[in-house]
Amino acid sequence: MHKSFNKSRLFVVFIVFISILTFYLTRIIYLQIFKSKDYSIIADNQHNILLQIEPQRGDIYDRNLRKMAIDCKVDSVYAVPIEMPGSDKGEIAANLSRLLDLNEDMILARLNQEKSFVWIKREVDKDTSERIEDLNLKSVRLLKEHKRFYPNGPLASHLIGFTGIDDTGLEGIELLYDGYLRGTPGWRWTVRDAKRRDIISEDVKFIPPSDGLSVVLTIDEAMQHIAENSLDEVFKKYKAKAASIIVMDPHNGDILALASRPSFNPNEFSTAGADLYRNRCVTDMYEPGSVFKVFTAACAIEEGLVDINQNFFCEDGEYRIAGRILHDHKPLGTLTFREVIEKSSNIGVCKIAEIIGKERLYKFIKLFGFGELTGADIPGEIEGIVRRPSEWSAVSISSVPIGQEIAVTSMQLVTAVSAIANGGYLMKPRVVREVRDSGGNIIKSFDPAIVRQVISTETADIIKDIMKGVVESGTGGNARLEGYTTAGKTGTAQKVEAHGGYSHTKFVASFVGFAPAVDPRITILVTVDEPRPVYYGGSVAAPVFRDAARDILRYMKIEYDKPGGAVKL
Amino acid sequence: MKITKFLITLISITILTFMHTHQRIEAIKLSYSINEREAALHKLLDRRRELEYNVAKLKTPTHLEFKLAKEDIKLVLPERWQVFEAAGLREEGARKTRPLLLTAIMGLFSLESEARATPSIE
Repeated sequence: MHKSFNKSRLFVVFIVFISILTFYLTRIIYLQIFKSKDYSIIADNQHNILLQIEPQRGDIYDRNLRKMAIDCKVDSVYAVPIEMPGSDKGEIAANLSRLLDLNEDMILARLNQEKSFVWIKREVDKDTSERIEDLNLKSVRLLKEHKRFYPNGPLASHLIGFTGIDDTGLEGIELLYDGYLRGTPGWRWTVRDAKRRDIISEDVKFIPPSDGLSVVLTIDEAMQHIAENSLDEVFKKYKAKAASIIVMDPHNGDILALASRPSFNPNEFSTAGADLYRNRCVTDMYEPGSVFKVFTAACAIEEGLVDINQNFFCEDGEYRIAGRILHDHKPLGTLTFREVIEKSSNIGVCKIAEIIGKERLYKFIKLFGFGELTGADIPGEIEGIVRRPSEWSAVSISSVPIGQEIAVTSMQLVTAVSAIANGGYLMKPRVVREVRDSGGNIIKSFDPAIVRQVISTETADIIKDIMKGVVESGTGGNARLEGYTTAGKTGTAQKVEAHGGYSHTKFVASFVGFAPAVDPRITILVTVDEPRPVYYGGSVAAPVFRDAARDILRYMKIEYDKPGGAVKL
Repeated sequence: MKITKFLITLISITILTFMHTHQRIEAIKLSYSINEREAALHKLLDRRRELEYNVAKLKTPTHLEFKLAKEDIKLVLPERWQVFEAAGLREEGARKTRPLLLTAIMGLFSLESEARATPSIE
C-alpha cells in the first residue's frame, strides 16, 4: 500500500512537469515559428535605421571670394512624448515655455500627442540650447539643423535673397540657384543598439551626401557698401517712397553693386513684410523721363539724320503739337543738337524725334533692350512697356522721345547706358560669375555675353561727349567728380496718377552716368521715387552718383584722368 | 581514437567560435569609437563654420566702420595735391617682375640706376 501511494504522487508530479514543459514548448514553437516573421519585423524596425544625411548648403561669395552667405548648424528642440511620464508633462511644458518664449498650452498640446517625435522650437540660439541641456530632460532633446547666416546683414539683401526654415531658397540668388546650392542628401542604412548608438561595422549601405556648390557673384562687397551708404543718405534725406542704385561694369555687364530701399535683413526676413523683399531694380517699372533723351539722340546720330552742330529752335519754352502744349523747364531759344541734350530741352528733343520718325525711333528703343528682359539672373524681372508704333497716338512722338508713354526698369536703363559707355554694345547683365565646389574648383563659369551691337563706336563717342557736356555745363553739374571726367544725364519724370494724367507733386528723380568718361569703368544709375520737397534729378540723384562714383573709383584705384591730376616727379 | 578526434574537433570549433565572437565584439567596440570620433569631428567642423561666420562678420565693411568710429580713428582719402607718383617706384616694380638672368645682364651694362638707398644697419 505504501509503494502504490508513492508511485501515484510521483505520477502527479510527473504530469505537472510535463504539462509545464508542454506549455513552454508550445509557446516557444508558437513564437519561433508562427510569430517569428512579425517579431523579426519589429526587431528590424527597432535596430535597422535608414538615416538621411543632410548636405552642407553651398556658400555665396562676392567677386573677391568674401562670404556673403554661410551655412552653420544650430540646435532645434524636439520632444519624444511617448517616453514622457504623463504626470511630468505639465511641468516640462512650463519650463520649456519660459525658456523658449512660447505659449505653454501649445507646448502641452504637442506633448500630449501619442508620437515619438514632435518639434518644440526650431533653430534656437546657443544660449537657449545650453539652457535646454541644463534642464537634463531625457525626453526633450536637441537636433542639429542647418541654418543660413548672412554676415553682412541687410547688405545686398535684395540680390542674395534668403532661405526658409528647411534651408530652401525663397528669394533672390538663394532661390534662382537653389539647385546648385542645396546639394544632394546622402543615406545610411545602419544598425542601432538598444542605446540608439550606430554600429557602423554593421552598416548595410552608405551613400555619402553631396555638399552644395558655392556661387560667386559679380558684386563687390566694398562697392556694395559704398553704394548702399550713398543710397541710405538720399532715401532718408528726401523721405522718399523708394530708391535704387545699380553699379555696372559697362565692358562686361558685371553688376558690381545693386541695392534698393526700403530694405530688410535676411537674417530676420520673417519680421519684414513681403513687400520689402522685391528687388525694385527689376520688378518695378517707371517712366524714365529726360534720361531717355540720350537714346533719342543716339538714334538721330546713328541714322545720320542730324548734325551735332545743327540748330533747333526751342520755341521759347512752349510748343504746340497735335493739340498738346509741350513745355520746357525754362524758356529756351535756339540750341544746337548738343545743347538740346545738355540743357534737356523737351521741345528740342521732340523736334529731333519728328525728324527720326516713330518707326525708326521704335526700332532703336527695342535695340537698346527696352521692352524685353535683360536676362539678368534676378527673379521677378519684368519687361516694361514699349508700345508698338501702330499703337502710338498723335502726341506719342512728343512723349516717347522724352521718356514718357514708355515704362522701363532700372536694369534696362543702366544696361542701355552702358552700351553707350562701352562703344555701342548691349551687354547681358551678369550677376553670377561662376559656381565652385567645396574645394574651390570652378565647376561652371558664366562668361560675359554681348547681346548685340546697338550703335557704332563713332556714334557712342559723340553721345558720350554730349553726356560729358551735361555734367560739365548742363543740368548734371552736381555729378561732377574731382579728378575724373564724368558723363551722365539727369531725369525728373512726373508719375502717372491712378485716375490718369501726370502728377504735379509726385516725381521720379534719376541720374545715370559713367566715369571716367574717356574710358568708362563704371556706369551708375540712381533712381529716387517721390523725393520731397526737392524732386529734380540733378539735385536729388546726381549727388548720390557723385559720392558713390568718387569712392568706388578710388577703391578701384582708377587713376585720375582729368588734366591736372596727380603730380609726377 | 575516435573520442580523441571528436574532442579535438569540438575544442577547435569552440576556439573558432570564441575567436569569431571576440572579433565581432571588437568590431562593435570599434564602431562605437568611430562614432565618437565622427561626432567629435562634426562638432569641430561645425565650430569651424561658426568661426568662419564670425570672421566674415568681423571683416564686413559695416563692422569695420563701426570699430573705426568707436575707436575714434579717422581715416581720410588723400587730396589730389597730396598724391605724388614717384618715377623710381615704377622702375622698382619693373625690376621685381623682370627675370633674374635679364636683370643680371642689364646690371652688367649699367642699364638701371646704380644708386639705391638701403636702410642703415644702425
